[in-house]
Amino acid sequence: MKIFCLSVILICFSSFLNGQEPFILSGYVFDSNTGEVLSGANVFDQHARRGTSTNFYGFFSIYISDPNNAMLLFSYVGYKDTIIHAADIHEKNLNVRLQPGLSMKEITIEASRQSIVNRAESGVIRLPVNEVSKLPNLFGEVDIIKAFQQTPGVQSGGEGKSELIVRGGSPDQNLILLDDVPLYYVSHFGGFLSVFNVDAISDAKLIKGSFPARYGGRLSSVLEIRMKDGNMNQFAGQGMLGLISSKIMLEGPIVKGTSSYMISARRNTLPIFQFFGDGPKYNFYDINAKLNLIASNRDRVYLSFYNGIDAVGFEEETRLTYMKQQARWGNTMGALRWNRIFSNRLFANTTFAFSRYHYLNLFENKNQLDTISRHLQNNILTGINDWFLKSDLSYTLLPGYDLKLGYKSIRHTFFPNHQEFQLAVRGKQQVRESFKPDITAWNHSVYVENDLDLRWFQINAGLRYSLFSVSEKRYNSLEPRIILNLLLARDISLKYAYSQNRQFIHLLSYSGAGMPADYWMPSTKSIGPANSIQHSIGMASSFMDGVFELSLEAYVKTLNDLIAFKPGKSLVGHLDSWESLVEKDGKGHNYGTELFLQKKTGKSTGWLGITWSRAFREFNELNQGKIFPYSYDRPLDISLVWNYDWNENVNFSFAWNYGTGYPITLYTEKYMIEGEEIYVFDKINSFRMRDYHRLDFALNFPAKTRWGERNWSISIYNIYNRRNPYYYFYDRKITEFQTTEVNGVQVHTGIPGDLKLYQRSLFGFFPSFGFSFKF
Amino acid sequence: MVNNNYISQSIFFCAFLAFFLSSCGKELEIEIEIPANNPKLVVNSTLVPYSLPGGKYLGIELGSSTSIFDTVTHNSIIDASVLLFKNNDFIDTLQYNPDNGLYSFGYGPFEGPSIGDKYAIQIFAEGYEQVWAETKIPEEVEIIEANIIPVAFINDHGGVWSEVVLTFDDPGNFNNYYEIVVVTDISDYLYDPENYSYLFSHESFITGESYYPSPLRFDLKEPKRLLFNDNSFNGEDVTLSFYYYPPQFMTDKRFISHHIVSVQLRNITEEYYLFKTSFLQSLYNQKEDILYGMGEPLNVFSNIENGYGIFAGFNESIVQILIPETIVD
Repeated sequence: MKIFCLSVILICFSSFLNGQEPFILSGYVFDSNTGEVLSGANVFDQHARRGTSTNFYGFFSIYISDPNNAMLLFSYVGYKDTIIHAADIHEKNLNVRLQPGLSMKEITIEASRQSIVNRAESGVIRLPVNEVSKLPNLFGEVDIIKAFQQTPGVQSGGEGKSELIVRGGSPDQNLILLDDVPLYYVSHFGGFLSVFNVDAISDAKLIKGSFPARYGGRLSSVLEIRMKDGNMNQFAGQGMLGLISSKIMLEGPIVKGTSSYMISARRNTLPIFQFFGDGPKYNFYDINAKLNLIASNRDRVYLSFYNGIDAVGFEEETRLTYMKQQARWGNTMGALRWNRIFSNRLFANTTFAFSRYHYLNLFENKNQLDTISRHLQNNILTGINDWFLKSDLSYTLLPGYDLKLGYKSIRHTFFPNHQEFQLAVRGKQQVRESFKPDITAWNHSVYVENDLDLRWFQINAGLRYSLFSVSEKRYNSLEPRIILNLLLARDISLKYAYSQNRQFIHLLSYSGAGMPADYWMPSTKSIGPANSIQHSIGMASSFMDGVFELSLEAYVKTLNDLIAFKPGKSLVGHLDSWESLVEKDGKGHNYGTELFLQKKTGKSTGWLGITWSRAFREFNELNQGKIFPYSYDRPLDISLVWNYDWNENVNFSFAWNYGTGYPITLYTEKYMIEGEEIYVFDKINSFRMRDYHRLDFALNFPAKTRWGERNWSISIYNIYNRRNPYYYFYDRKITEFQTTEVNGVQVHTGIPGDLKLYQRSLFGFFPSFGFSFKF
Repeated sequence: MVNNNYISQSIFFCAFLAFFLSSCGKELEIEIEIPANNPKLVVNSTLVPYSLPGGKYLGIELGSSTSIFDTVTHNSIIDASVLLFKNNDFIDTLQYNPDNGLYSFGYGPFEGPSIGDKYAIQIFAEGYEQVWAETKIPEEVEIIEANIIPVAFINDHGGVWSEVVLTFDDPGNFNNYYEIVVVTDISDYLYDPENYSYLFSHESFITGESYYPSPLRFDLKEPKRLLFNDNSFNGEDVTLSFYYYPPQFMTDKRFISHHIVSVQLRNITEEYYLFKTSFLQSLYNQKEDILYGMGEPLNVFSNIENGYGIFAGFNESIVQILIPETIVD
């Protein structure tokens, strides 16, 4: 009996010493130098063959089924992987710090599998910011959106543009989030630069396939961008002097290890358009700022801020007159976020934020004579204000089963047209003011997501419910989402995804004989929300010891209840009846196949993206009701990017892009009436512009200095000077002159030649230079 | 050494500048195959009541469309059969008049176009589809009051614009459409657009029209007619202001010349309004702009079935005001 009891005691004691019970491990993954959290880092139990990834805030939670044998691999692109034996872990919370650098080959293989093969994800692209910085660029500044444009399924929409055209969708169908807050207009300088300052960004992810239920309100994609939190350990900074813009970023601890700040600012270096003489003034700037506080070992608080403005206009003053005309637009956003770890199983984030987009057009004119004085001012303001509160919970319910729940309430205020007109003549004031009343709309949504990992099979199944109410109209939406990932072998998986999406707000862009302006308008009684259904199927593989990752995905996307301006209609001054200016009940039919081959490690990195796709639209009252190619229909799109680290002080990269020419509507007939030549078109988008292709090159010379690092970069856009189409136009060139005599003076009059079609190109061979520094 | 560095830096800068300048705005002629299409008849005709000055000079101009790159710019059709109907009754076959290039109405003082009647034309021409169109003449909307401020606005080139303040009563229960034109020399033909003055306005129901050029388009001239509808003031008394460019001359000072200005308020049919606004907007959209590219292609509205152009009526109220020679400053 004594021996029996002693044996039991010994067995229990040895179990206590050598074997832990299964448990849930949670914690954060950080950059060891800066203390920045790493979102999307892989956490993989090599023994159990089960893993997870850190969330947007760098937090992970994983079930350790066999603590005695579990080997946890922590990996992230650009960082040395770390393996931790679970037996060495004595707490249920573990914060891991990864060092920047290259990993050992064996670890790379496994890390690669986790990044692409073992995840229930569809159409997700992550671009490491430090790799983006090496890419060729325009005007000396790299741009995160231009980098995404060089991946399959994503187009720019035209030469030099910063739009995201994802799988045949329109620019407004992308949910663009900066620290969880949606932005509505993300371009500077006519689209040649985006509003995202790469120096202020820590992570960027684009989801162009079926996005999980936690995202909603858009049809085509989610672009999630995370601002840097700020270096927790030491003061640091970086900056750049470029051809078009210059910028500076400063970060550092407020209280070391507990709180930090980050602030960055960017503006144009030179007066654009006035560089070579008179012209309108064009200026832009943006500011990113963030505060980060570790309030306790369970609580973190973030305060984020962004403000960016573009302004173009002119001002002229003479002895008698003064005239000023200006257009100004931009975004402002602020967000307060609170992360709370309730337990190892339960993580919560709550965000309270605002976002504002506005477009202002102002005109002022003064005349001053002896007897007459006249002062006129006309201002038009349009935009959208959002206030929202959201909360997301992530709960590890069972081994391999995470449950995510959340809600979001947004109060949209649309101010489509605030117009103020003032006229004072001879000192007598006449004020006339007219405006369209603000429109308030509420959008409430709740979602549930189930993340199941059965080792050989992963599933993300979710349901999102949205309620949109405006005036006396309510729209409900139930949006199922499912993503399946089936492991066929260790290095290859098969994926399927299905999603339904609804978009309650519409973007109407004014184009024609005027300045482009974006009008965001809510769904109304007569104009309902747009919706989409997308199926995709694909495979993902990592091979050659994890050096290469390959994904091949095919999709079919149908869109319904789309709207478009009726021919010749615009929004200016017609906001009372904007619904009558648009065609509704439009349909979209998009399909395609995307191949994405990446090499992420080694001296040589890069990717090849090939997309075969079609996109069509159909409206009852457009194109005689017949289906027509969408403006961004591009049957073949190829991107080839190659980066090479020659040595520590030299690296270069090439990027070659090819795309079938965009569809275009061309006139086919003409006639004379009232002394003018009038052109007629037959079908919408029935012709194509010439194919687009160009080769870019970048050469970087980084070097360490006493005070930090510096980098000289030379970038050449369009090395072989391809004349790519920017737009087509008709013209009659002067081919000969006729000489007549008028009052004894010889007058030479040009005789216009035949009408011909011409192409305008924008950028040919274009070198840029930049100097950047870090300290 | 210093000089060599300076020279090589200068050369480098110039080369860079040359590349930069040479890479922007390149043009390339595009050869493109346009599918063959059958030409269509182009009709141009407006009806006004016979009592108005223009009522004595009306006719139908008939032309043909061509392929977009055809070198022939203007085809007059002189051998068509043009039938005129009134309230569905056949009236007359119009004859081509080579003196004015029009198929003319052969009517006397008591047979001219009248308000409220429906007029239609049917045209046959060899090689073309038969075309048909109909219209009517609306009621006159009378100008209640018109005042002119001769020196109201000076542009940045020192040119003077005069202001017109116009009051009229918009009839309720109808959708009305209007056109304003101004002629500054009464010896000119009132219905020849060549004689119309340039106009602009700050009224939102005018500037809000799709054809009205944005002030940011510095290359576009002011329109010669102001078109608008009554959506924002249906059935109300309306007072609006606009500006016209008077005849003026410079000696040591600037003067507005003595002139009689004719202000014409036209009550136009919907087809006239749709044609004129789309016509003007189409002309603007056909122009190239280096910043925004070509405007969106737009087909001009036509009420000519199987053809292009316009057959539309309008009525008008005219006020003529004498402006004496006025010194500006």
